[in-house]
Amino acid sequence: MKSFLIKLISFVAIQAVILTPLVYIGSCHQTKRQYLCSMCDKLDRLKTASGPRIIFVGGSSLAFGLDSKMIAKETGYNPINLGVHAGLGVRYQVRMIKQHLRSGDLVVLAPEYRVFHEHGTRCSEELAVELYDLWPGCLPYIQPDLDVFLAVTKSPLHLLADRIRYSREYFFSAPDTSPVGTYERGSFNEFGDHVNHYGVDPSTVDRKIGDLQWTMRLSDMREAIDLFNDFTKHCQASGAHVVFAHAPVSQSSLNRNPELRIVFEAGLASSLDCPIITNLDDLGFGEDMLFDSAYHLSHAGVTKRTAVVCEGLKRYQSMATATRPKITNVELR
Amino acid sequence: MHFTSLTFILFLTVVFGLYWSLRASRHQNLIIVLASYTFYGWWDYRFCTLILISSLIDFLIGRKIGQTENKASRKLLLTISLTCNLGLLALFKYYGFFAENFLAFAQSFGWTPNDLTLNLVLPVGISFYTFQTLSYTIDVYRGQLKPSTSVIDYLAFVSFFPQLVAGPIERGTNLLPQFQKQRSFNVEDATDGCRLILWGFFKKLAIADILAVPVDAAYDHWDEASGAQLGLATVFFAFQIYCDFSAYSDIAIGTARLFSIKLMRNFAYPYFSQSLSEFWGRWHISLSTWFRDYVYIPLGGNRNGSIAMHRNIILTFLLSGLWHGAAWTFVVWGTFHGVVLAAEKIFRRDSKPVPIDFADQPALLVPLSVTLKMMLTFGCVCLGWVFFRAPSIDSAFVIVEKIVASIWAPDQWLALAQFLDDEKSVKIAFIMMLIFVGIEWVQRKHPCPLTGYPKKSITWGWPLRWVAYTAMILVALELMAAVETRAFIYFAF
Repeated sequence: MKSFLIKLISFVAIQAVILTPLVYIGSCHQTKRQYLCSMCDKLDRLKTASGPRIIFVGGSSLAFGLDSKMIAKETGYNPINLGVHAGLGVRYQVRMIKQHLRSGDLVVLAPEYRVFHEHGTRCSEELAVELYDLWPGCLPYIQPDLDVFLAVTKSPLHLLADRIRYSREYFFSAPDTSPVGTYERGSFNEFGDHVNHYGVDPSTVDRKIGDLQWTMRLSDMREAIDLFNDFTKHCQASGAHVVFAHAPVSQSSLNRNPELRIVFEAGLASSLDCPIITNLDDLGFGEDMLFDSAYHLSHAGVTKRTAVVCEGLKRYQSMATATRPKITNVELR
Repeated sequence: MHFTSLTFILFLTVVFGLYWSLRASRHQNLIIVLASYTFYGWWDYRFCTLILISSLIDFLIGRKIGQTENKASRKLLLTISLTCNLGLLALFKYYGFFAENFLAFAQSFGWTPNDLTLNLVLPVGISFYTFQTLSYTIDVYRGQLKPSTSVIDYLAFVSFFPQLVAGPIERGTNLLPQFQKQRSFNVEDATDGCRLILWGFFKKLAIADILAVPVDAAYDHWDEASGAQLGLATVFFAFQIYCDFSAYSDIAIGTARLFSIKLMRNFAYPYFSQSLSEFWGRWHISLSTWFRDYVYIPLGGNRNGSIAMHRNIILTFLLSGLWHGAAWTFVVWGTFHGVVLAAEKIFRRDSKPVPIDFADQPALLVPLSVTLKMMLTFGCVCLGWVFFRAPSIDSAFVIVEKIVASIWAPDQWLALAQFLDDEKSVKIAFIMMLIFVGIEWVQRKHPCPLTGYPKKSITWGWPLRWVAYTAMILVALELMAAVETRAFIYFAF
């Protein structure tokens, strides 16, 4: 038995010695340009950025919809834009922030409207698997849903195999010198804003600007509101502040089903514990200000949206004094 | 829990550690039973109840048969066992098939009875363990095996996890005594087991799953694919199913060896057979010998004249086809093999049995006549595979028609050659298949291309062997990344 185990362990050790550098090289090569891997860069920034900080929580409408330089200039905060993809939900960002929160941080919740649908705060299983394939380190942030955990950890052998394949590409394929595309990791600036699409003419891209489905029900919104209220409590206990800002949306979506919008607005105003600093009516965008979807803004749209957010933030800053810890939403608007 | 998953590797490591940390065989058997039920319950815990009930029925009946000398009582007990086992199999596997066909038949006469289908889930491996428990009761009835007195030994025999889901279908006469005696760790056996596992992993991940892609592409769009494309896909499928199923058997046999349990050989280079009867002596040996011993011989075998023998062959293969799946395609596949085998018996009356280890063949080059016989047999087997793989019986006949028509259409073969050249994945599949055939041909005189026991199949020193094993792992991982890992084909049976 002893000689067998020595032989087996030696063989496994040799495989580990060979595979570890290949996995590392493959991993670096694979994630170098992947859009979703911008999450790692954003997490790095969250860990290291100096204060006073303003942290934006949301999906790709944030990535494609914020000018952090303008925010910094107008408010004096150091911005961190965590937006990557709405399908990832917001729970993972909430967990990230909780781990790296500092006293004095201002968190702006600016999630897409899908977050307020049933299970909308959670990372979709499909994306979780994709993300885990690229970045296994994401597991502590996306793990708590058992289904997602089982889905992402289902095939570690495939994960290993993927890395080996990418390491082979690294060694044997010509290096990829093509310019950074729109949906790539390198298309973000140092704050986490997607800037690579600024110079792109929206008419030259594949645009899918459909109207968003407003199927809000107060019962469905509960999950997101509870999450945000818990998070607000946690932040307040840590000496940080939380505000809510609306995500941008196409004007045609706003015009559709106005009664459902009323349900949504009423739900937010009555249930959310944090102040709402924007007005939904200010965040409807015409097609000329959209890039490739009903959520993604062109450069002009980004400037307009950021101005609306800055205005809300300034109003909030001017009212948020030690004597008035809770500001009513009526006052803010 | 699939063999080709990290979960299984971890599970195996834990079970191996627990098993050898115990000395008494009854404790080791208990570990095997617990591990096997965990392994089986991983698919669906409800299946465990089914296998437990099936096992306990046969255990009790076996004991009762052993306790009585009365022929009528023994026969009655055997009938109860057959009814229970075949009843469960019929209910879960065949009820839907027969109900559907009955409904279709009734509707053709204008009668529309109420829906009879039950939509039952087919428990994984039910055909395998049912046949295993059946063989136990029959062997006890025949007096060839003493009934087990320990329920744990018996449960270990029925549910032994390496071979539970897709065989080899073991006989009580081979496996049960191994659970009843004291086992000691054997380094040679365990090392060989690891080699078999590695070879199984390689065949599954680097060949079977790679070949599955072009096979599915052609067979899922059989109405659009050309005859030449379907012909190539059929050859690919022949190797896909062989590598897939024999990989499972190799991993099962290798895993069993880690516990000092020897399972029977299930494959012996079947595509180098020179006749269909030789093919069935080399393909899924545990099933073909099961049908020989428990169906063909009880039917009369070759004892009642030529006509009865041919009838028995065809009937046995028809049942073998039905064992594979409840569909007309499998029935036709089995019957086709039965008919060809019966015809072979007529035309080759004097054919001698061929040694399983190819002892009568030179190492590399064989006479042209042998090569032609091998190719003819392979062609015949491939024709059968069309029915096995086709989505329906109608499509199978169209596919055969297309393939036959393409033989006289050189433009289709030129287009196929171009397609092979253009499609990198198909080219890789083709190359892997050729490499595999080459390895098998060179190593065909050994039970497995990688094993070193009882006679070393590779005489290289360990550093060179380990380099080869590492290369196999890297190639398997590299190819695995390109395709989706599939469940073993025989899990469906």
